[in-house]
Amino acid sequence: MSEKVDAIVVGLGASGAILAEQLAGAGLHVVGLDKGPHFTGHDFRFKHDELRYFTRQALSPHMGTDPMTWRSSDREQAAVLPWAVGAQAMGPLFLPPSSGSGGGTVHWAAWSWRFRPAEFQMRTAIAERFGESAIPEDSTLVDWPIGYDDLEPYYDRVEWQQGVSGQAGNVNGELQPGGNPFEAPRRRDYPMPPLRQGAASERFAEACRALGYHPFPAPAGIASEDFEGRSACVYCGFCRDFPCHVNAKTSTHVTSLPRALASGNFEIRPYARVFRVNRDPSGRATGVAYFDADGTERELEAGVIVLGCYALENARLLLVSGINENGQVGRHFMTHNYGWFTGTLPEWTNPFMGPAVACNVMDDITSELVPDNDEGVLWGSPIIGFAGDVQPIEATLNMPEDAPTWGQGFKDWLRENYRRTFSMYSQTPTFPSSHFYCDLDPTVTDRFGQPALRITHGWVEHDVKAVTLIQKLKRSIAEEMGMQRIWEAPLEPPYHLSTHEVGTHRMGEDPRASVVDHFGQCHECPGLYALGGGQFPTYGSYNPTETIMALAYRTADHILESAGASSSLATAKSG
Amino acid sequence: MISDELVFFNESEARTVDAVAARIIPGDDADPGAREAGAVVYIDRALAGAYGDFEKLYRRGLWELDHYCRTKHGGPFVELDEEHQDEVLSHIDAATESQLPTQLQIGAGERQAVDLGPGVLAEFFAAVRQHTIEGTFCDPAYGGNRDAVGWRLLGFPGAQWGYSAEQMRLGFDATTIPVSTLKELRGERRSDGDR
Repeated sequence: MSEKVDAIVVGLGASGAILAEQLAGAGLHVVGLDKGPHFTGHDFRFKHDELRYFTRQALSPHMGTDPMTWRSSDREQAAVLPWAVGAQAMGPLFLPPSSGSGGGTVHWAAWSWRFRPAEFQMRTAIAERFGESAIPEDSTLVDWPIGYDDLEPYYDRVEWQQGVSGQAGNVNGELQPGGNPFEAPRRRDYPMPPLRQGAASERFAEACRALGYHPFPAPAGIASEDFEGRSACVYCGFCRDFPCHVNAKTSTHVTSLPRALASGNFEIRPYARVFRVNRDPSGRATGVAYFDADGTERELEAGVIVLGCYALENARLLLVSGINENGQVGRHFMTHNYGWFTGTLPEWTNPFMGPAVACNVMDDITSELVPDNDEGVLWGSPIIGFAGDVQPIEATLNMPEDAPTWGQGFKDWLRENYRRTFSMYSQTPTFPSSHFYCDLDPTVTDRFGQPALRITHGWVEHDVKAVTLIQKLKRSIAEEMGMQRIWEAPLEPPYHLSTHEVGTHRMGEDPRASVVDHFGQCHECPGLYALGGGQFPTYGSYNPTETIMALAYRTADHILESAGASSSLATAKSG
Repeated sequence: MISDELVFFNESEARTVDAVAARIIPGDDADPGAREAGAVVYIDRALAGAYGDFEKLYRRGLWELDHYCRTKHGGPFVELDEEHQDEVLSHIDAATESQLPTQLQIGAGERQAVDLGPGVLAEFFAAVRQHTIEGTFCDPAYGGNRDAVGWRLLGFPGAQWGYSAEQMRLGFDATTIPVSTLKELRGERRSDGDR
């Protein structure tokens, strides 16, 4: 006999924790299942350990327990690859998703962006400017089923309820001094001012201004002042890839989960590994099957089931549950190419101080604002300064190609240059393509005998052209900044997985051509919601998390409104 | 000195790894490198624990390295002078860059072929290099970076609770900040705050 609750949330990261908070807060009895541990802020009080959190990625599951395979095209044999740490640094699977309470919001660098209005209409925007013929043949570019205006109220909720620091650029159509003049209208300012900026941030901003651009401090999911019981950032510099030791970072294990637990209607079951979504003969989702912390098989029933396990595991769970009638699950895999660009300044920049996100950025050539160009680049990107978060071991992974890799020259290079480096990056999105997708690996299984997820992704011509164009602009900024020496990542970088993967359970109106509707509910399986970056029909040039969170708030509202209408969902008392 | 603390290597293996590490980040008492940081102690502990997967690569790589050195230079790696040690490592490193060849043609005149195994030496050197870097720049809690010499070499202040606005100014000399380790940070902060 299985146990029954109102709602099950699988995965307690960016979207799952928000669903848990919203549903439990409204009186539903919610159980959260996460395959990782249950973390609280206390667990990370002494997290200043590069080896543990960067090199060895302590927050991520091991490939031995959670294998995943990769190949660059379907002409190749996919293989399990180690997470890119240690001797395998900067390999194809550069940064794996985290597990445990908070999920990716524990390790994220906290660039907290809204997508631009044009990014919800990417196909239309490109076709109107460059013509339909400019769209690559294999592309599955579409417009989103919702627009910026649908999400604006939810972006606002993310910023005010989760906590985002920043400088508004456009409040209700009025441009704000010091903000991003290209920003879409927002209903109000951020709840907190921008973070104190990293040492070289102002130098970067000056260079941008001298070139006629409009830099502004990046919006950050980090408290710049004390915020709702959380401490302000103390600028330790162990931030991206690290948990926060003072709960300044907006991680859902310190935002939504404590509030969900305080409702009295929410229970967390850590180390619970969901392996199947159960359905009734009509196709409706009825619950999940999981292995508990002892490895015992359990079943749990609910009227609402939310998968918030990241684009990759969400797709895998749908596939192993046989939810893929139209063949769309796992298609349209998208990611970012970062165009890493590093140089040295004459002064000490101390790249280990403060978070990377505490830096200026410029949006002049982003997305649909991409300048006219001969290269055929259809979509731009912000140019983002990277001010902090670089500890010594990581620094050895980012050196000029001709710098010595060992010996006295290596030692001298590090001593002379590490403390003078400054980086910039961009994030040009890949276009969804019929060539790139995830499916179940035909041979590799996990320790429970379930198929591993197989990623098929390679870089294509447009990816290379887009980075080529933007690197030119970074070079002009570097020159203006007075950088002495610069070096750039390969145009086709070695990584294919960097916790920016999206698109694998596309949302759309047409049940034949998408997996979920615009509230994240599976077309084929009522009662089942698949949330996260997997919903994105196309990819913006921005970090995905704030949009993931905004979509989660919107889905929570929808579920509660539907529940209110039918009044049959809640078994627990409100309050 | 090294042998008092070993949990994975035997003494001879430890001496070889220490000698390789000392060429990857060279140093002496006045200007410490990987040897002075105790990188080999870090590697030894890592292989007995978190990096158990590397056990075979190290055991085989160490054997291959000495076999290669004996064939080419007439003695094991630790008995070569620094110049010859660097020559050996450069040779192996070049193999890394040319995509792990299975066999290298070495030796003048007769073009004697020495089997390097299927890229084992190259893979081994890449691993020792990475682990030497870790053992030099990790927190001292892991057995390497003794007295934080690796951090001092770079001017990195280590595990700091946070930085002030003054310290975050462009051009600030971070070597003026006393270096702190995780152990020191715990000692200072354990009692305060929310505990």
